[in-house]
Amino acid sequence: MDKILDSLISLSSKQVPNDVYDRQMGSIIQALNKISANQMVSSGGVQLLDVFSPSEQSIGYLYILLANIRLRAIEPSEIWKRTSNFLESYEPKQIGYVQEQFRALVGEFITEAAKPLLVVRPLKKAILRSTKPTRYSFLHTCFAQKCLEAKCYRDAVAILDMDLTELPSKKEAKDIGYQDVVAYFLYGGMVYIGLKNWRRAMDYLTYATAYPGNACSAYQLEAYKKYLLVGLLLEGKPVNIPSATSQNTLRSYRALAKPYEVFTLAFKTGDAEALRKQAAICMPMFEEDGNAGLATQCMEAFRRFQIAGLTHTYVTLSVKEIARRNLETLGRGGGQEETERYILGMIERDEIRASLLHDSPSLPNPGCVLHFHSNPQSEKKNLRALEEQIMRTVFITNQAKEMEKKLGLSKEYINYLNKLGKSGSSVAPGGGNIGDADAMDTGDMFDYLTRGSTGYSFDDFGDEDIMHQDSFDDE
Amino acid sequence: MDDQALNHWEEKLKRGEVVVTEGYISNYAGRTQVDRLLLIGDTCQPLAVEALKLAVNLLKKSSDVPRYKQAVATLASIDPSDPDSRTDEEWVDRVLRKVASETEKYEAQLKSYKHNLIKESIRMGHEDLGNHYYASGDLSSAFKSYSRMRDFCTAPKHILDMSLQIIKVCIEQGNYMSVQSHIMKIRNLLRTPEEEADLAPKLAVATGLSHLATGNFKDAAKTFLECPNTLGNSWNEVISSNDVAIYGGLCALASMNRPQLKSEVLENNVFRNFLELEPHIRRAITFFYSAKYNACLSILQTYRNDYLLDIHLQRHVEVIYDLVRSKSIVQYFVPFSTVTLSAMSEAFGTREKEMERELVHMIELGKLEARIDTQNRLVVSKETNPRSSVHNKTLLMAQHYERVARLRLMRMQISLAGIEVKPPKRESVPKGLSFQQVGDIRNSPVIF
Repeated sequence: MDKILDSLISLSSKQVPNDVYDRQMGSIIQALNKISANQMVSSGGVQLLDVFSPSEQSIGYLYILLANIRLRAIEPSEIWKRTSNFLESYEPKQIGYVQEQFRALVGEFITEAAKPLLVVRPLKKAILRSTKPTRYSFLHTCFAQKCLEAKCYRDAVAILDMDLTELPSKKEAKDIGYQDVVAYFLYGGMVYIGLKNWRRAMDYLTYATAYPGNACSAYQLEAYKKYLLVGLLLEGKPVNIPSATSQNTLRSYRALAKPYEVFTLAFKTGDAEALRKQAAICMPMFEEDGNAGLATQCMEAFRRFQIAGLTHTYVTLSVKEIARRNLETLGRGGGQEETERYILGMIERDEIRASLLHDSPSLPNPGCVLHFHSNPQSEKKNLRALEEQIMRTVFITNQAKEMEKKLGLSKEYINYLNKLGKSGSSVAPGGGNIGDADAMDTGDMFDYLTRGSTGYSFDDFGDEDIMHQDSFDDE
Repeated sequence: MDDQALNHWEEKLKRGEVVVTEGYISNYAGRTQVDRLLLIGDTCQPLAVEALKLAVNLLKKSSDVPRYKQAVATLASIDPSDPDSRTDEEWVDRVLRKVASETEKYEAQLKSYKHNLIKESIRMGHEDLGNHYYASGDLSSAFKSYSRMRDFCTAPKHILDMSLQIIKVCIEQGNYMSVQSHIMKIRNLLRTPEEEADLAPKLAVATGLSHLATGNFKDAAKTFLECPNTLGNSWNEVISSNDVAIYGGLCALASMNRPQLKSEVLENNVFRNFLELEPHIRRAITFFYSAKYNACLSILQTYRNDYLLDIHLQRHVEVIYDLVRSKSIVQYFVPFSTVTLSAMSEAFGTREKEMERELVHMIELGKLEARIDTQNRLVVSKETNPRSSVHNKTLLMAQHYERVARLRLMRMQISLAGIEVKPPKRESVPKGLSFQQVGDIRNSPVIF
């Protein structure tokens, strides 16, 4: 243990090139794996936990902490304190080598902490501390799930507001399956549903719904059901299934989410009676799926969207007329007075631009008239929004360019180019066996880059190792 | 046909101004006469007996047994006491025998031609057989026989003849896909000027009919309007010049705006000759052009029933009339910023309530850019601000782009990482979800 400590200290104290660091880390981990748990807890009467520093010798600290927890060598309260401290201060570079142990530690941490609320903050800090918070790790799913359980949606947003930009490949993280990632998207969507941020909820549910693959996961189905309902709340009409959804997945959705589709169609008709009837039929199924609350909100929103829709058709309309349409679908009244109060609420929340005018009470039939104003849009606000949007568009376009570069340098694409080259032009007979593969790769890549079709400069060529790092096995 | 239309017909009958079926049908020749009569017999009660009796008489001169039976059956269901409503068994037997023997004869002929391997004879053999099938009412066999001529055509003229025959058969069958493909075939052929002059109107009419059948009124109008006036009676097995005027006029009314109507219909020298055959269509278009929408609509209304009895127009009358009406309303409203509902309902000859309902419907469909002031009974045009609407549209488009791009990137990342959803290895577990997972979902937090 002492030796390990020494080498860790020496490693962190000086700058070493990447490959040396790699090698040393490898030997350290090997050594660590050999030491038994008992030896890790204490050595010569010294509590090793106090010797190692969580921020500098993270890797050693992680092993020791894990051993301590497994052997129940420290108090439960101590576990929470130590682990959360570790999660807040660990050195991401070192931990990258021991993902498995790290995951085990987080697992223990979550089971030890009795309340989900207790783990939310440490997990959040752990994610933010990692080398790239927008790169998916198992922490994301744990975090989103715990946030849901603890109902700390606001804490969750700090992480969820950042879209994932990278996913570890199968090689880099063996234990991450599609379930984890789809679950993360589903939970993310649910967090935003909790916050009633329909737009973002939709984004996350779309990711889950359109998750690639040739089968349908149960998580995806759940996400699709919510996707349909949230779509109603966001747009006021049924939304289309994201076009990227794969055919097989689509077929499962169609077969398994019928009640939801029927419900959205009833919503679309704009006929309150039809919606009420359909809702009565579908509600038990929604309840079983845990979506009843969402569906109830849809029913509520139905009236709001219908009234807002009247803006396009009418300049003035009597409240009596609106009440007569009987748009209330939840059975909370819907009489003239209730409607008037409801409309007042909508105006106050700025959902419609309108005003209510009461006739003078001296008239024989005093009523109340709703005046819709035309929508003067403030130019300033529009322009500002446009400017922000331009920034975001540029950002996403750059991301797309990076992605293209990455794919362009991937082994698969280069193999494909090789094949094209072979079939197109006459290559020396007998060439292109495994021996020359590397030479061919480079040759073709030069070709590809010099042709300038993608507009990369030669500087980019320095990233040749990306190709090897990110090459993925076809399984 | 609805009750209103029926009453209308009965009134017309009483006043003795009914379209004389015989006169109407003499515009046509061949099979289409019977088809049209049968359609009238099926849809229009007051005229049915007369039409069906005419049809039966015509059919007895032909050798078309299936349709004879159909006509007699329809007649019997309407007026069993009529002498024509009894099947003439003796005639049926005789004709059936004749048809059978002729079929045999032509087939034997064709066989011997095939044996001799003379292309021209084989072609004619197929043609004879096709004509025979056509006459005896077996359209699908006729179509097959004509199609087989294709391989034995030696001159472009033969292909022209064959395609025209097929087009005729297909129009009667209602198979407009084939009509279009054969029109293309003819268009791709070299033609002499005389052939061209003969063909142009037929092609125009056939194209127009196929557009009309698919509900593409704009293209239908264009092709009918381009139809050369040499058509005359040259193709009255399919269509009469009057029909060209009616179809072209109505389609134009339904699909063109006012300046177009003036330049392409009223000032079209070729089409004017057709319009002269149906002056009321001309009047309707003129009224529409001069913004007298009510007059235009009432003319159309008067002739509505005639068109409902037309074999090609029947299915589209309602749609075309709706289009013309909503177009008139939109056009009427263009110069105004506010109109009272009462003025508008007066201009279109309806009651205020109905007018309002119609307008609301049109606004909801996005056809009319207006809003209704129910308190002051006004129709108010929408204020449009192109600048801000462009801003908004751009914003929406960019947001959409961003979302789609992000989704696509995410999918690529997932594929790159190799963690797509995969069906489980064991066949027994359904659709990529193990029971473990289901349990997982049930235990996972559910809000609301």
